[in-house]
Order: sequence, then C-alpha cells, then structure tokens
Amino acid sequence: MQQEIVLHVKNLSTTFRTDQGSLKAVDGVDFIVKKGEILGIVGESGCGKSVTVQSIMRLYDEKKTVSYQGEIFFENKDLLTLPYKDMKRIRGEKISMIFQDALSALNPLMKIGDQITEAIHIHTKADRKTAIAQGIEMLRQVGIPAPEKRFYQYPFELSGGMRQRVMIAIALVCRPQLLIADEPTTALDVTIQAQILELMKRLNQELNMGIMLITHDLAVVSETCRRVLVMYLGQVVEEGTAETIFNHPGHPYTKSLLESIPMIGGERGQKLRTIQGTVPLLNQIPAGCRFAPRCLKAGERCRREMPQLAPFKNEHCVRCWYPNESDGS
Amino acid sequence: MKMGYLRVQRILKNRRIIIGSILVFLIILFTLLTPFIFPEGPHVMEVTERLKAPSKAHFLGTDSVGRDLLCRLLYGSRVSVGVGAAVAVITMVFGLIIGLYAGYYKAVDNIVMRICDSLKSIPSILLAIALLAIMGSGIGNVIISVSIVYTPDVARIARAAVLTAREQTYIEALEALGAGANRILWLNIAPNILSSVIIQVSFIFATAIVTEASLSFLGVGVPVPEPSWGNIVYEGRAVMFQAWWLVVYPSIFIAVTVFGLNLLGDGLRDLFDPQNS
Amino acid sequence: MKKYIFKRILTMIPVFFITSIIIFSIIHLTPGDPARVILGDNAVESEVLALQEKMGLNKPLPLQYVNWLTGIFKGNLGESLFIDQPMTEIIWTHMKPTVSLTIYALLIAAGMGITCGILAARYKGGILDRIVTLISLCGISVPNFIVALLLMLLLAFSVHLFPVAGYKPMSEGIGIHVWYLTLPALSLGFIHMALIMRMTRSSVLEVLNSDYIKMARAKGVSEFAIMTKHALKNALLPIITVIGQTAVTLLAGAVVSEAIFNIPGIGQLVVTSIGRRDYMVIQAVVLVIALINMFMMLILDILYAAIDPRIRLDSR
Repeated sequence: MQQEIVLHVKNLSTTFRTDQGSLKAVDGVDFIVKKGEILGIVGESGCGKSVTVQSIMRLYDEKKTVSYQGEIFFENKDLLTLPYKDMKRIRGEKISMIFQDALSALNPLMKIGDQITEAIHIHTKADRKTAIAQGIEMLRQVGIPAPEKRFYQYPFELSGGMRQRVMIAIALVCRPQLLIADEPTTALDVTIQAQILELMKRLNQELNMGIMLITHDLAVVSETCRRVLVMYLGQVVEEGTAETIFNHPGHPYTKSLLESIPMIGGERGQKLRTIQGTVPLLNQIPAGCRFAPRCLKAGERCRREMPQLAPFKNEHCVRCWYPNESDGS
Repeated sequence: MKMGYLRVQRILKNRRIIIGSILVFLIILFTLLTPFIFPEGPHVMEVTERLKAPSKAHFLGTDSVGRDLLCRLLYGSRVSVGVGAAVAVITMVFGLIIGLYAGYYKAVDNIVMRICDSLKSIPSILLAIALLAIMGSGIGNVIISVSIVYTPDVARIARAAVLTAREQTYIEALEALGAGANRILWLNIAPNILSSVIIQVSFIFATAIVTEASLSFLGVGVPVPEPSWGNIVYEGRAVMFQAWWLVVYPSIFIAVTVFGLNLLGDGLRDLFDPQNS
Repeated sequence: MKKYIFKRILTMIPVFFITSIIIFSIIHLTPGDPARVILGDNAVESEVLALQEKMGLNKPLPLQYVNWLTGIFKGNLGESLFIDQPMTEIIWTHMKPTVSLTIYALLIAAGMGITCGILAARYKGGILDRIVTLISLCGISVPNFIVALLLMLLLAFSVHLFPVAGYKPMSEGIGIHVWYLTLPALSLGFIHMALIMRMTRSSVLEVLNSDYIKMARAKGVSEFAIMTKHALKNALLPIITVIGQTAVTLLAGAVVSEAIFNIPGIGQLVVTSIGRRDYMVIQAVVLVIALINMFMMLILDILYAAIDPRIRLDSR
C-alpha cells in the first residue's frame, strides 16, 4: 500500500534556553505521516511528544526560548526555514492542531461561531455569510446537535465533550491535510472519549487527511492508529504498526509500558508491573541508552553507548542493543 | 527532617525574604538601640544650630529649631514602627477571630461581612481621618483608628481561608466525630490559615506605617513635638526649600522600611503560597 | 443583562444602609457629647444647649439617624457649623478640583500603567520589563506625599518646569488648569501606576501562556491580532477591577496631594474642617465619597459583565 507522504520529519531537535542552561527536549526525531493515516505517538509525560508536535507548528518563541535543528518537510517545503508570513498561512489551513483541554483552549470571551469563522476569514476570501454557513456545517459534521444555536453560544455554556467537538470543528474548518491532536481525549471521561475517537476516525476517512494522535493512553492508540511511535526522553525508541508494537514489542520500554496496563480478563492476583523509577530530568540525561537506568536488561554496553533506531523486522524499528526477540509473552 | 531542610533551602534561595528580613531587622535594631545612641532624647534644641546642612556634628543636619534630624528620625522610628507593629498585631488578632467565626457560622458571616464590606466602601485614609477627627490626635488613637480601617482586610482573608479549609475531608471527619466548633476552629483550622493571615498582616504592617505617616503629615496623627516620621516631614515641609534634608531623609527612612516589609511579604507569599504570587 | 444589573443594584441597598449607620455612629457614638467637643472645654452651658438643639442632639439616637437619613434622600446632607451655605453646594464647589485631579491622576496611572505593563509582558526579560519591575517595587513602597514633596523639590524648585503649588480653575483655560495639576496628579498617580503596571504585566503574561492563545496561533492568527483580539480583552478583565478601586483610592488620596499643593478641593475642606471641628462637613464628605465609591463599583461590575459572558449569563 503506497500512500502519499504528508509530513516528513528529519532529525528534528528542539532546544530550550532556560535559566539552568539549554535543554534538548527533542533529540533527533525522524518520522513520516502519510495521507489518510492516523499515526500514534505514545510515551510518559515529559518524553517530548508535545514538544515534537508543537515544534512542527513552530509555536514556541523562537527569539528567546527555543532553537530547532533538522528539517520538517511539508509540501516539499522545509517548515523550519519558512518565513513567519508563510508559516502563518500553513497554520490552521494546511496543518491544524487540537489541544488537551478544550475549556482552556477556547477563548472564554468569544462566541463559538466567531472562533470557527476566524480561521475561515484568515485563510479564505469567503464573505461573512458563507463563513457562517461553513461554520455551522462544520459543527454539524462533528456531531453537535442544534449547531445553529451552539454557533452563537459561549464555550462555558457547553459540556466537555461538546467543547472538544467544537475544537475539532475549528481545527478542521479549513480542511487541513494534517491534524495534530495533542492528548485530545485525556481530559474526558471514558464514554465521551470513545465518541471523540470514533469522530476522529470518521473524519479521517471522510476528509482523507493525516492525523497525528499524541497520547499516553495505550488503549487509545490500539483502537485508532495503524502505525505507532514510542518516545522516551526526546527520542523515538520504537516505531512500527500498532499490531506489531502491541503483540511483539521490541524495546524494553515499550514492553514495560504494555505490562503496566491492567487487563480485564487478566489473571486474578497477578501483580501489575510498573516501570521502576521516573523519567529523568532533561539536564540529567544518562550517557548511553537513555532508558538504561530504568531498564531491567541493561548491560555494560547500554550504559556506555547510545543505540541507534535500527530496522528490526519489516516496518519495525527499535532503538536498543538487545531488542526483544520473543513474541512478547 | 528532610522537609525542614528543604524549607530552609527554599528560604535561603528566596532573595526577597533575605533582603526584606535584613532591612526589617536593622530597623528594629536601630529602634531598640536609639536610647543608647542618643541618651539625651529627641527634644534637645540648639538655637545656634538651626537648619544646618548635614555635617560631621549632625549627620543628617538639623531642623528649624536646631534639633538633630538623625536623633529625631531614630526616636521617630520608635513611634512609626511601633504604630505599624501594634496595628499589625491588633488587626491580626481581631481579623483572625472575626474571620474564623464568620467562616464557620453562616449567621455571623452575613452580618459581619456586610459590616466589613461597608467599612471598605469608605476609602481607608478618609475613614482613618474621620475617626481621628472625632477621637482627637494621639498615638493611641492613631493605632485604634488605623486598626479599625484594616481589620476587615484580615477578616476577609481569614474567612476565605476558613471556607476552603472547611471543605477538606479531615474537617468533615472531625465534625462527624462530634468535635466542638471551638476546638475545630482553633486547633485544626486556625493553624492552617495562619500563613495566609501572616502574609496579609506583613503587608498591613507596611501600609500602617504609610498611613500613620500620611495622617501625621496632615496634622491629624501623632502630634508634635513627639517625633514620628510623618510629622517630621510635616514640620520640615515649611522650610523644605532651604533645608531639603528635612524632607528627603525622613522619606528615605519610610521608603526603606516599607520596601523591606513589602519584600518580606512578597517573599513569604512565594514561600507559603507559590500559586498566588 | 438587565436582570444582572437589577440584582446588582439590590445588593447595594444593605451595604448603603450599613455604611450610613457606620458613618452616623462615628460621630454620634464616640464618647462625649459632640456639641461639647465642638465648642471646647470652656464653653458656656447655654451655647452647648443651643448647639445641641441645632444639631438635633437632644433627640433619641434612632430618631436622629432617621432624620439624617431622610434628609439625605431629600438632598440635605446637614449643615456646616461655619460655612453659611447648603452642604451640597459646599461639597460641589470643593469637588470640582478634586475630580479634575483624580481623573488626571487616573489617566496617568491607567494609561501609563497598562501600556508599560503590556509592553513589559510582551517583551518579557527585556530592559523595559526590568525597569517596570523596579519602578513597581519602588512605587509600592513610597507613600504619595513623599513622591509629591520630591517631585516638588525636583521639578518645581530645582528645575522650574511646573508651579510649586496652587490651583487654576478650568475657567482660566484648560492648558493652565492642566499645567497646575500636573505635579499633584503625577504624585497621586505614581503608586497606582506602579500597581496597575504590575497587575497588567502578570495578567498579560498569564493570558499569553494560555492554551487559547496557542490555539489561536495554531489557527494562523497573526501576532498583532492575537494581542488585540484574543489577549487584551482577557487580560483586561482583572485590570478593570483594579482600575475601579484605584479611582476611589485616588479620590480619597487626593486629600494628601491637595494639602501639599494647596488645591482648594475636598481634601482641603476635610483638613480645615478637622481644625474647626466642623464634624457635619466631615460626615457629609465621607458619605458622599462612600456613595461615589458604591456607584463606581456598580458601574465596574456592569462593565465586567458586559465583557465577560460567564458573569452576565450565569445570573439568568
């Protein structure tokens, strides 16, 4: 299945300048997003998922706090070298983003309709009437009942799930080719979560766009994504199809992540495993393999040398000296 | 042990607290040492030494009747800082009591908080002036009137803190166990809200010094010849174009003290209540 | 919105009554007979009786209060013991310079404070930001009479930029009116400028770090539109409250500035009335300013509700 590539990230690094010196939150990340696919990016908090995607949008203050290295290709242009004027045109029209908490991501003082049509007015020459019609249509498309009424309401008047739908509507109103969803379901309860994921799957097919789904919830990934990236401390440690990653994890980190999920129908009395230790701070990155201090299998070489992200089996890459050969019992 | 150590570390890292407490400590030290530095008191006049500019004999110069400015300022600090401290203590005690009971009993709350709102609807300096106009000037009356003006501020903070503390599960548990209201209020809630009250009080300390100075400057506060920073400026103002030091130095004393107290308050807030800074 | 305003006005009623009781008690519940205090220790008994009669002190307290209160509703704020004019007229003539001064000081405080605060937040860590932080730290620590005296020494005495003191009414020309009021307004507004600056800075910073600004940026909104359309309105919400409180504090703080710069406003009226023990004037002035304060708060709350739909619509 050969699909068109929407986004190609090559060796992306994002460095923040802080009072404690510079911190590399993303370190040499490579991946591609294809048209019409949902790519999942998983990892614990602080592993650089959000920084990666916000770097693609270049949302950080480049004058003072952040510097990027590497390349991000989108429509044959490197986003990182694009002048601000052109970048602004891509944001919202070609690449859109939705956030974790819709309540704080929607402007509390602006009507929902105005927040939707704002993007239409920026990116197209549509007049007011068309924009309003488009906006209402978009609200209907994301499954909001009585969109004509909701259009003129304020965010605080809607429920959490509705707000999340509104945010998706805002992001999709210009029909972008890529949607970045940064933990879109984390703040929602389980039933709403399922509805939103269902909606994203549906829109993914209807609009044939690429979606990057960032989450720390492995269950979400297994339900929605075909391909998955696992990140740890600013690096991609494993990449492959959801099927492979879940059934035959290659990296010890992925394996421990999977083992820490409680399973319905799992053996009663079986102890739930956790990963020992916590994610180290960015200014205390270990010298060799970054996972080595927390890895049960780490050997001498792991502490000394950093492994590369190497092809393991077809479409399956792992960053480990001793990738798991077993079938992930 | 570890927690205590971390606390100490955080205090040492917090430059505001350090600078603030050093300033406040120095001022209190000078205030206490004044009688030893100038045993003759603040009222000695040397007619030949009228309006002398700062010199070796008189470090900060002399005033229009030949009194040493430094001496008067140091004695004045006893009055000004004393008034500030007294107001701080009084507002803290009454504010805490009012706030605690208002936060706990709905009936008390309605009445007391309406009164506090109303007191606050009269601008503080004007309320203090009106109170002093009726009671007459004098150190005691200044303390009383300024305390009346600022007690509602402490009461409000304490009440808000009580309302949040009451929501907490362990308070509900205590109520369920049948602990008496007074016991819960004083043994369980009061220690928890003390930090926010102390922060507020440290600002009131500073504000009270400014208020006293303003009142004395207007001639309704501490009456001359008893020196206070405010009335030294008040007396100096008449001759300020010949003797700038009579206005500038007292100003520096007031500004440094208030600055120190504000820094201390800011620092304390950072320490106890990091979200609110 | 109408319902909100109506509700808000209803809450003013108890506050007004309690405030009026407090103001009434300040004069009537203090130990000693006001008439005796006013006339001094060596007053003749017949004079005291006459004054008691004139002030209505011989009636029971609740009745005195009711008479005073009904008087207020009829526009009668009491009678001065020294100035032979209706109280409203006395206050009105003295209010004009004070209001001029307050508005001027408010313009300085809010105008400079908000502008510098926004710039400091926008260019965080820059030179302007540091200057703003320093000024706000100093400003908060210096009482306004000190600022007034120092400005007078510097800008009027050493460099003759402004008049040392005095007041010219608006009728002599707006230019000279403003020129005479500049130093008093600067000294009065300075501290509040510092406060507003600090507030604005932190409020804008908080808003700029919020998710909806990120979302707007991700939508492709330009930096200018982000500032004007999204950030400013949100950041100004808390500042509106501060400006309202500032206006009232300035009105009261004018007492000190007027005393220093010799401006015939409310402040001077209060100070001279204290000297003459003309309590009726003090009582009336305090009441008027408290009323102005209450209406100011009312207007602010309405303004706040007009901007923030959460408040406006919640009261439905």
